Amino acid sequence: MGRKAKVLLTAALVAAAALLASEPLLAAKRGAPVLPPLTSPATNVRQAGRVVWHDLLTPDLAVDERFYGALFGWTYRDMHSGRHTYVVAFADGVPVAGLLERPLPRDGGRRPQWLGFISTDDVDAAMHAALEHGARDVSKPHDYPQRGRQAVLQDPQGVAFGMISSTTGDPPDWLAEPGQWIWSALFTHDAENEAAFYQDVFGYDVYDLDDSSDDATTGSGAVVHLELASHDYARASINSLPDAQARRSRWVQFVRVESAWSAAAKAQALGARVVLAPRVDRQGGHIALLADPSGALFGVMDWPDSDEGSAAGPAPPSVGPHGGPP
Amino acid sequence: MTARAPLRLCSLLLAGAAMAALLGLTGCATDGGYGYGYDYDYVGPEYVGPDVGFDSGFWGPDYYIGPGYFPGPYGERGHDHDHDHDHPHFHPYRPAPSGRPPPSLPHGFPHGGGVPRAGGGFHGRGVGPHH
Repeated sequence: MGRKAKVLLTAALVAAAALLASEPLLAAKRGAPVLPPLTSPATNVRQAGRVVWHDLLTPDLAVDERFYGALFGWTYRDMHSGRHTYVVAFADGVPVAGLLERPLPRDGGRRPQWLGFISTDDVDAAMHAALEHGARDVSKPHDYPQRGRQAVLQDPQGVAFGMISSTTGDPPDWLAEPGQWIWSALFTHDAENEAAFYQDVFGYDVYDLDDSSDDATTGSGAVVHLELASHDYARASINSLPDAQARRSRWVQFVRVESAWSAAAKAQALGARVVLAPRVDRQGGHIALLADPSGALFGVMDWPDSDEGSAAGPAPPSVGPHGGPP
Repeated sequence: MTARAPLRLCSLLLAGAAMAALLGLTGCATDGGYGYGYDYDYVGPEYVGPDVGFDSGFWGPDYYIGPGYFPGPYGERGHDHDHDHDHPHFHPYRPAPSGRPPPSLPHGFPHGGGVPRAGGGFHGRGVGPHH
């Protein structure tokens, strides 16, 4: 090896060493925050197909912090995420959501939204499967300290969703406590093909809950109501949307509450809009759709504990513009 | 000539270190300060969602959204929803096996006393974030 080659080799080695040494130093200098793990202590078990994390993209973090804090009792921890403000919300000490402040584009016609992250054992493999079945990547897989590896995509209908492989495993698979997420619903114009897509990516069992009822219509044809299940638990629904011109497909996430009626009334008093007034849903639960003060859609749902056997929640007076108490 | 060789080596070393520092700083700038090279900024403003037009309402009286089966005293209302026998038609998805009722939400563990069926890593009451 000539002298010149030795010199170049040495320089390359020094550069590599300096590069390796610089990242921890820089990270320490900037106080790199670490997201809390999804579960502590670690479970080291993932339930593929379960929606295990939720992020809110909002233009006004302070307003939504106050709103969800007052409505659900969430507390927050600021994560100082670089250029953007990101806080993690806790329900009774359990991390349940992240709130990320993002400006609204000026083109109008857009709203903040909740984004659900679906658990998977292998984000890269799931991403690959999703892209092969017509999805589009919004954010390629990234590793986040303690959190895990996650990515964001749009499904074939253009609906945004996330996927995550949690470093510490998923939270215990128990019925959500009040203040925690209990249900996810995808409203879409192509329910059956969307079910096929999510089944291909996450391996769901798909159940057709079609009522075969004349009442189960939207005014423009029969509804499709599918259930996505994994590990023998219901994880999400896929509901058909009418009027393709008027409405956009969307995931909506639901928080468990003691009473959908009380939660809707309280949310309204806190500045939310009631999009769908509380109503009886399948098998005894009550459900309502709300838009938070920033306009992000979310749902509340009361669900009788199976071991308590109480299906009928309290029914305060009607709230909101649609529906009403049964 | 012998005096210039160490000088060249020194220059190269300095250049290498400078390059490394530059790369490191670049990484810092692009990740926006979020550790391990990434800002928590996975979507641009365009992914703040579209207005979905839900406000006008479209739910008929039996437009259901929630889980389809309740395992408690309402469990008898769960039934086989596989319609392939009565109305055979092509599903783009693979329907769950005939005769299997749709599952419900997880049980009310821990306070409800149910037993979590999924996630073999859990070891019963007393383990988990609530304790």
